[in-house]
Amino acid sequence: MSPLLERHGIKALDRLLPALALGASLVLPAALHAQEAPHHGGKVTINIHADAPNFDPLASTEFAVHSRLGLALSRLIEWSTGPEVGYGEFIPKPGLAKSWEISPDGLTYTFHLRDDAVWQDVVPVSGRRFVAADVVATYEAIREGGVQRGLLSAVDRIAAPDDHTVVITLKRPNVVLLQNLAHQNMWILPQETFNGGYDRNTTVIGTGPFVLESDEPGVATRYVRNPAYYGRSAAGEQLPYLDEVEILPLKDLNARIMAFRAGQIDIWFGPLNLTQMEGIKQAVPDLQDIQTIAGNQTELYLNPSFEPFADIRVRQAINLAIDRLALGEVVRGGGAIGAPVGPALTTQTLPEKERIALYGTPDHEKAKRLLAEAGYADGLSFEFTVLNYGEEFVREAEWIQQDLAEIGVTAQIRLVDTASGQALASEGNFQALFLIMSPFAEADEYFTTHYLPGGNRNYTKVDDPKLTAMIEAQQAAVDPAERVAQIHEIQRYIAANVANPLPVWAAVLLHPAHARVKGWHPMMTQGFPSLPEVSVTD
Amino acid sequence: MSTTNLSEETLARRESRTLAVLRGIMHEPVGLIALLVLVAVILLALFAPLIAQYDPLFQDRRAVLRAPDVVHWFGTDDIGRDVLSRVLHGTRISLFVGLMVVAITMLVGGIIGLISGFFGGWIDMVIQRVVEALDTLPSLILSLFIAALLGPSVRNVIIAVAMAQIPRFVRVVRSEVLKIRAYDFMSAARVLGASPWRIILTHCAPNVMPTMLVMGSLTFGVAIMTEAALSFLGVGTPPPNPSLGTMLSQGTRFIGTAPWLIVFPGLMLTISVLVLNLMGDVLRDVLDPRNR
Repeated sequence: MSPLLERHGIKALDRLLPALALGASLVLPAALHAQEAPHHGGKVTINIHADAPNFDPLASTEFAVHSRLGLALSRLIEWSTGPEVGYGEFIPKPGLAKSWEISPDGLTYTFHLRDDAVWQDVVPVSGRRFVAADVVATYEAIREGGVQRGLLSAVDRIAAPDDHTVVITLKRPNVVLLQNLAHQNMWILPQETFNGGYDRNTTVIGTGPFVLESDEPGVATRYVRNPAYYGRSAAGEQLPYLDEVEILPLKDLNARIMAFRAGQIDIWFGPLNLTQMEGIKQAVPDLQDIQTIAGNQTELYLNPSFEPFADIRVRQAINLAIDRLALGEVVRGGGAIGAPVGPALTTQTLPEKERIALYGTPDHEKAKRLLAEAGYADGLSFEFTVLNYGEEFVREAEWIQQDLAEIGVTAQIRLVDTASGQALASEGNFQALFLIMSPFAEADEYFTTHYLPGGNRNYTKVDDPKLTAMIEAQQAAVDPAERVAQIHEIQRYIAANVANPLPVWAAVLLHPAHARVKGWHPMMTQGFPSLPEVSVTD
Repeated sequence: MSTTNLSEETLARRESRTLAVLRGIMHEPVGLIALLVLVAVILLALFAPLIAQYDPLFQDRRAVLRAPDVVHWFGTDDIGRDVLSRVLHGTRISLFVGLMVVAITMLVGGIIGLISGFFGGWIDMVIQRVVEALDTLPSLILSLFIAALLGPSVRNVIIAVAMAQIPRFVRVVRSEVLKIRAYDFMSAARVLGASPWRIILTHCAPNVMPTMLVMGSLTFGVAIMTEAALSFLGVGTPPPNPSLGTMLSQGTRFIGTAPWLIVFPGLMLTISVLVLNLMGDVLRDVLDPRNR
């Protein structure tokens, strides 16, 4: 552990926190429940810093579209939410499918659909029952031309033997199929939209908790409760609790902050740093300070086409030079240490102790020895391409630069804009590259993009047959516990034999909400899945 | 022998003119104060490595966001770097950028302006249309565009700022040359058979120099401000090098909790630009023959 952390007494906290957390988990829920039960009625306002250019879920992956669609539409499988569920943790929950079975060979998925779901009362669908043909029509349209068609690439056939059953047959086992069906872009639409019945660019008809009432670009998107929503709370109460939801498209950060401080926004959505949060807290002292670990992390790519980085000992030396825990505390003010699978995926990432052992235990003497063994006893120098993601990110790069200087490695920072940086990464035109990856919700996404030949984030051209075989093996695993063990083993293999890219840090995400909002649990997936269970106290 | 006497005479005349300018500046209280402060700023920047107690890039991770005290007079930043050392080195970079921009704009803008004004005709027309086209864009926007195109580096900032300032120089120098061209000594030089380039170098250039000096001093301040603005916007001096603009940009995140991160670089920026502008005003007054 870094001296900095020791100085702040983190060691003692390490011992105390589990006990405090256990105590809190036992006492708090009961106490809160006793205080107030959710009641129906009221309105919340959320900010989304962009307008929706259209409402066609097959046409774009834009967060501004799918975040809005999530209030009105449903998926076959949903994400569980709640205080016990991590921000990026996928625990499948029945959505439009009330249950499902998987054949022993992992090739056939049979979904039993709800019989109490009806489409919203909007012409031309006008409140008819939801049936299996809607699912088949949606998925076939996605496979034909939806932006999310890659999520169904393993699917061979989709059939509807009756109105309440859908059978999906796969070409090959695909362990992430359930998660793909719960993906933030996989909304089920009524079959009428695919027969020219209505224009899904402008009209939204779903089976979700809210009905889209109006969308005025630059002003607000307004929703009202869907009285026919199938969702029920754990206590059996009709959901949603809220009567109305309003989304304000405030593009300017300061305007958003002022609106939150003034109470015009109840639930914060989007980027916010700790300093800005401190300012908000001073104005709204009783706010709910909800913090989560980001679904992405910073990563350092060392290009083996640059001679020194072809030697794994040099890559390991660089790994050993970086004091990530102190970096996270000083630069980011919180978060979690990275791993080949990011820390937001709490069950799939390596346990924290192991992550700290592999990536959070700087040892400059050992690093120097490794450099000497690799023939770089006098150190080395390289161009350190840093994508300009903003102040805090550049600070991370500067931090790493000094850490490397302490083992005799000179990193010359070259700051580039993100678009140029992405191009350099794709072309492999860099010596070392520092970036923030996109948020991923599944270990398989990390593996296939980063470590398989041809993966769209395999910027360092990793091509390790043993690793590829391990990745393919976990894709075919059916037993969840066994698969998690395989995922952990893959990460250990990567740390020992690949060491590229080097995971650095996952930042803390801030999701403040006003005290009047109850039951709010932010999740990495878009569409605000916990919103049906949100209520307000006034 | 007579040539030597002439050179000595010329030198003596130039010396007396320089002294007259200096006397003129000192005669003005504002000018004197501005000159003294400017010299102090230049000395601080020149000897920054000797004056600064710390390496401006060194992160003292045990002293993060430390308020000004006896150890760190201007405090430390969010990764423990000494703000005083960074301000001194940042001023050095700012002055270097300003100086290079002034040198480039005076040289390039001066030459183009002299050619445009002296030769006239189609050469003048082509140059002036290009200058007008560049003038349609605000200089900061033009600098921003060029800097974004070239990528962040001190060299590129100098190019970007200079490119945006050259049109102003061209226009002013051209108009001065048009005035000078009508004087009798120009006709005399032509009658005596002097070549156009000789006339430009020996008669036009010395006569537009006072105007260029005033313009140069004002451009110095503009260049420093533009460099700061570009760095503030992330296309100027790249990290980890200290620049007053970058420091201001980085400090805004901590404006409520660590105001020293923006107060000191801001103060240095204000002082540098203010004294340069004051010097420009005083120089203009001193060099203007109507004020003699």
